[in-house]
Amino acid sequence: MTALPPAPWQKRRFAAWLPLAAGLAFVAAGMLLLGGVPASGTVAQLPAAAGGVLGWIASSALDALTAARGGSDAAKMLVAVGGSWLVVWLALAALGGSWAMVSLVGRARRGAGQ
Amino acid sequence: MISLLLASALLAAPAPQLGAGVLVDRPTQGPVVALLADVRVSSEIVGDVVAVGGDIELAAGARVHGDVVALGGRVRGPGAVTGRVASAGGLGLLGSGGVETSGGSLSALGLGLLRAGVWLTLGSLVILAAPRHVRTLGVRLASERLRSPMIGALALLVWLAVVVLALAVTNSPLGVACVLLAVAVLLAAKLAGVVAVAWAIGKAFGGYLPLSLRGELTRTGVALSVLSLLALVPLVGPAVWLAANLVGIGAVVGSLLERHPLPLSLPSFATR
Repeated sequence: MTALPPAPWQKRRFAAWLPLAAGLAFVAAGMLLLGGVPASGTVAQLPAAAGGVLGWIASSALDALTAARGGSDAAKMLVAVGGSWLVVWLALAALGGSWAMVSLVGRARRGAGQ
Repeated sequence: MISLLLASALLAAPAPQLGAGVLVDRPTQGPVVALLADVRVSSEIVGDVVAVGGDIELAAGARVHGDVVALGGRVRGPGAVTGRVASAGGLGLLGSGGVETSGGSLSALGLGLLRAGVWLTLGSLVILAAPRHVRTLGVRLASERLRSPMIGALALLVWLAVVVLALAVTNSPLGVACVLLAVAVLLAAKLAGVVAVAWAIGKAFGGYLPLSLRGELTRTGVALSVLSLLALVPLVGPAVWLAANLVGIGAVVGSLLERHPLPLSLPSFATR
């Protein structure tokens, strides 16, 4: 029974949409009681700021990739940009990734051997 | 004339910096914004103060002529605010317990309703858009009532450790990306988990509902509505919401680990 998809007619019933309507009504009531969004002018600018942050992350990643051509200079820049923690993170990721890869190979071997 | 003189005497608002705390100790023109950092105010600010992912501390001499909003943090301190003070602490794990406002009980109720409404709206959309996934998670949760909360608590512990590590390098793009990704993943797991809890509650108590509300989607939606409203009840609400979060996140993480079992093999590999 659990593998069967939910009956499509359920979505056509009015009652199925009531919780969604209630949620929207709660949002509207909450906004009404609050008298609007506090610091609305500043909060409205946050999505643009978030876009700026994502752009900064992307451009920084591109800069790091471009600088990676420089051999040891790239490693120095990595430490300068991200600090020693970044190196620790990369080391952990490398170790974990290797571990997972070896484990995957081991499982495949065991599977083939059986 | 006096206001002109006052305006000219105010410092310009500090540029918002990611992960770097903001200290305002001189009369400043707002808005003052901090992202993933705290704001400490000990002087006068003409304008709003907003912190996303950080606390706002209003010291004894602080006076803010505007609203003070902390998203994912708290507002504290004896400083004066002429506008509204609102904070939504944490990531909603404690339900209404993390919501504060200075505008009286009516505003507190408004902020609570807003929060419950957002979760109910998003949860209802998940129920309507992906009912099979909701059912899969719900069945898992119902069959593993003891394991799910334990997995959920462990998952939150790991999440906290990762975020703390990421915050240590938050000034780097990698740190910021890790924090944003971790928050997005937790919110997604929380949403899916709470909806799964609602599915399980709806299945257990669906027989008590009127016939027209017993359909799988409808009863799950009704249970989610009850859960969202219950989270608004003082004292009991935050505890219920936290329990629902732990159980739900545990079901989501358990389901993911079952579907992608690679990490499960690592411990046995390590003990060889």
